[in-house]
Amino acid sequence: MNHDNIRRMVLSAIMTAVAITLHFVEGLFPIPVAIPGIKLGLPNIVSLVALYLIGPVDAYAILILRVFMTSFLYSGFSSLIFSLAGGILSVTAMFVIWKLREKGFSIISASVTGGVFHNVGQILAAAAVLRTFSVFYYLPVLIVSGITTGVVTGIVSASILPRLNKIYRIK
Amino acid sequence: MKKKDFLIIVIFLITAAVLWLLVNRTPEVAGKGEAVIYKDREEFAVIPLTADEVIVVENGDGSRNVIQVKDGKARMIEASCPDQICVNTRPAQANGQSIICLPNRVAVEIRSTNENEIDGVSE
Repeated sequence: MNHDNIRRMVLSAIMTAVAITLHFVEGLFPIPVAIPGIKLGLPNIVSLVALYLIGPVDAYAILILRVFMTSFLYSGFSSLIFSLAGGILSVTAMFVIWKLREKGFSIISASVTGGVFHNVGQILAAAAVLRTFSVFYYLPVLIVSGITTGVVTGIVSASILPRLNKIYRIK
Repeated sequence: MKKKDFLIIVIFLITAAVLWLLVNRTPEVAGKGEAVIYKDREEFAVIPLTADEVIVVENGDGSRNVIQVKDGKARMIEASCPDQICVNTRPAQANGQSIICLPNRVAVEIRSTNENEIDGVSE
C-alpha cells in the first residue's frame, strides 16, 4: 500500500463516519413541512463531496457502508431496502452528472439530480415492497422536494469542496 | 449556479408538472368506491358511488343533512347547520376524501372497494 492509498482509505473512513453522524443529526431536527417522508438529505452532501473529491468507487463504498451502518444502528431492516434503493440510484445519477462536469454541469446539477433520483429510488422500492402503483401519485411532490433539498445540499457541497480540495488533494 | 444547472432544474420541474397532471387527470373509475355516511361517529349508510341516490340524515334535535350520490361523486346538498361549510365543500369522489358537517356530527367519507390500496400497509 502506498501513501496515496492509505490517505484515500482513511479519508473514506472519515467521510463514512461523517455521513453516519449527519444521518443522526438529521433525525434530531425534522424539517417542519406538512408532507411526510421529506428530509434534507444531509448525508447526500457526503456522497457528493466524496464523488468530487475522491472518486466514484469511494462514493459508492461510503454510501453502502453508511446505509448499512445507519440501518443497523437506528432504523432497522425495512429502511435498509429504501435507503439502499434511494442511495444507489442517487449516487448513480450524481455519477452521470459528474462525468459531464466538463460540459458545464456544476456540482449543484449533480446534487439536484441526486436528490430527485434518491426520492425516485425510494418510490420504486415502496412500489416493489407494497406491490402497488398508488405510491406513484406521490412522485411529483417528491420530485419537487428533491429539487429543493438538492439545491440546498448542492450549495453546501459547493462551498465545502474547494476547502477540502486544498487539504486532501488525491491524484 | 451555471446555466445548465437551471436547465436541469427546469427539466425536473416540467417532469413533475407533467406527472402531476397525468396523475390528477386520471379520474377514479366510477364504481370503485363507496360513500360511507357517518352520524355521531357511527356508520349510518353505505352507498356505492355508482348509485344515484339522495339520503336524508335527520337527528333527534331537528338538524338535517341531505347527501346526494350521483355520477360517482358524493355531495352535501342541504344542511341545517349555521356555517354551511359542508355544503360548500367540493364533492368527494376519490378514496379518502370526505365531507364533514361538524355542527350536526355528520360525515361522508369515500372508501375504496379496491383491494391493495396504500392504506393496507400499516396492517
